[in-house]
Amino acid sequence: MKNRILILGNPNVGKSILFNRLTGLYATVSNYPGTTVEIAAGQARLPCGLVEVVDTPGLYSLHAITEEERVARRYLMTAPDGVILQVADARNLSRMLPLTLQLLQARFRVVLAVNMLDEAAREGLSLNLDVLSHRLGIPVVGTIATRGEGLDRLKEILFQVLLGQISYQKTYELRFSPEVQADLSAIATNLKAVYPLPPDCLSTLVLAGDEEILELVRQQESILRWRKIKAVITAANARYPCGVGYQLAIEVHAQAEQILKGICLRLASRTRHWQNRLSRFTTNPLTGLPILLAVLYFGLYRFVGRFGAGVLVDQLDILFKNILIPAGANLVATIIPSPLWQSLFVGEYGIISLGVRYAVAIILPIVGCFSFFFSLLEDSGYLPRLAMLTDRLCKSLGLNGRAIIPLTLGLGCDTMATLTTRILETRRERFIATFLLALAVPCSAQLGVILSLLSPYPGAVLLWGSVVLLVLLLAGHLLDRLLPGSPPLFFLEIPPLRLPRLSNILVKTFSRMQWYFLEVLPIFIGVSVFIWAGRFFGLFQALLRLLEPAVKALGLPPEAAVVFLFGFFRRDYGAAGLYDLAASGALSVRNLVTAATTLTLFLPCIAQFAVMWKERGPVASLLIAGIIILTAWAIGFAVNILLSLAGL
Amino acid sequence: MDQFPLTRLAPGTTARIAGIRSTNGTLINKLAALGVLPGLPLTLIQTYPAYLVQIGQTELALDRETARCIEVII
Repeated sequence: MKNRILILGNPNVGKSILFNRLTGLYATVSNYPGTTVEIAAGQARLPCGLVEVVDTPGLYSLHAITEEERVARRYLMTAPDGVILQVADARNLSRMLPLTLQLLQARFRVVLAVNMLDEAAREGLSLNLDVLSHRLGIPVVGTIATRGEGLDRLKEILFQVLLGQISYQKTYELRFSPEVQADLSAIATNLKAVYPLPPDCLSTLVLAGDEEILELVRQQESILRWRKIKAVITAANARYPCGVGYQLAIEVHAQAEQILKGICLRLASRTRHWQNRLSRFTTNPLTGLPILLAVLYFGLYRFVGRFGAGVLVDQLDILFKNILIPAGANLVATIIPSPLWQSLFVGEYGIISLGVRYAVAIILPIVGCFSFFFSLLEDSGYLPRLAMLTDRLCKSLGLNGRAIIPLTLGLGCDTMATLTTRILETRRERFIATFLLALAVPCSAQLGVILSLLSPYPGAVLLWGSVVLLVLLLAGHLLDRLLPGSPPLFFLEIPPLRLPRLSNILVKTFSRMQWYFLEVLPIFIGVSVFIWAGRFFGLFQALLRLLEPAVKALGLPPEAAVVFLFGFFRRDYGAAGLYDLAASGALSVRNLVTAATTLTLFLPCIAQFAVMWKERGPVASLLIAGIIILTAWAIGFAVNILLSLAGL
Repeated sequence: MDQFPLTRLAPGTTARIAGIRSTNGTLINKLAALGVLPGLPLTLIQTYPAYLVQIGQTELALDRETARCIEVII
């Protein structure tokens, strides 16, 4: 594909904003390394017509370590003829240039966009980009993507490169120390197969120990050559205390510094801008922790919980119950004569009255509010600070700071949070996070009901809260001890705080809602069909009879079994059932605390279970579900006994 | 002067990076990509609840285990 522009670069340099500026289309951008594994594509209008533009996940170096970096590199390797638009942070050129040099070593046609010139200027940096362009032998354009500055010139240059009007004959070449150069030559002579990257670039990646490239070479070359290559790598690694991969990084970085000599001038000493000051406040524990609590309280509890899950859900639900469902019922009645088949669509658990209503009226507003809040956190650069402040807490649960994202997300909606465990690096972490979300992180729907039921008794709220928190900490700690491996090391780039752009946030929120809706709607429809069929075949009645003894053992009246079973399918039903029971005077305070605790720990809802099944597979999901049901029951049992011993 | 782990540096002081002491190749390469390279000046900003260092214009948050791997020299 000759006419393709591939946007590439480190995380947090404004790739996606530049992509939006070029294409007018949106891709999920983020400050948090790990949330964009998907690739966004769009079309840019250049003087020569429409050209495909692809936005890739953050890439620090051609030596790909994370999954996102591999994805980005795969794109690179399948587009040897395309034009690479590398976006770089103007304040940090010495860290950005090694990637440029690697791309040039791989003989790509690179255009370098030195972005965020405004931030660089604020730091008193002046950059001579013409000299940089001359030394590298490639076009270099200064841009401020957020304001669209430099975009016209960038488009003009991309157009010229696509037409072949700019020559790439004399670009900068990487040179290494004699020892490293000898190793590279030794490897290159043993690479006989055809590869998607030129031999010198490939040998560098092989010597650095890039796992994906090594595997490729192992498959392509004869055993003899492979052994020779391995021997070169082993000998080289023994020569340097931190391994030869580190040595290569040092040598490439030294060349980048050499190129930048005299190009970056610090005109003034760094002015203490509000961003720097505020940044310290957010990371310092004395001020950072209160800020964190305030962000979570206002963002999650007030905005997502009260406004989204409360006000918006109520309004939409009224719309459904009073207008849409009756209208749907009339329509279905005129098309389908059989009441049985009618009930599949508009019965109590029908596709429209349960599936669609749930997805649209209950989940979508919560997800919308949450995405808005989350996008704000991302674009402001707060997310990595949140991870940093909570790393210690997460470590005690067998996770690291990154896991705070899905865990807080769970307080909004556990289903969405389970999907977000994808951002965690290891399978162990994803399992622990999924487990904790299912066990001890109540979603906004559960929280709302339970808090309103228990609020007349402050002691009950405290007891319920302490038990759930204790179970969370204990479960995390146990999983950390029992599962092989250890919590992953935590290190994260903390980008500067930035003022988010509303347009960016809105488009991002919308694209997330759209993605989520498409992912969740089929699940809800499937659940409606399942419940409909289950009721038809008397499955639920049988399950209720099975549940009753277990519920009685918790000291609860047998009617509570319905609450637990249907609570799993319909959270509002479970809640309403608990309300009714409490209103009829069938529940004492002891019963309320027991029921609330057990319900919180119990599997939250079938949608979450379905997502869990999809993300973790059947074995892990059934295992998690089994342990959770037993744990929830056992804790409920213990709470009931202890409370009755206390004379309640 | 001998090199010592970053964790023994006092907050607010600047030292030069001497290297990374670890057998974890992935960690070394990732830190290298983030700019933890010998000779560069590093300022330790804070140590709790996580280590926060500044290298050039880049700020990095590290847990104690990672910070211990980074050796500095004054």
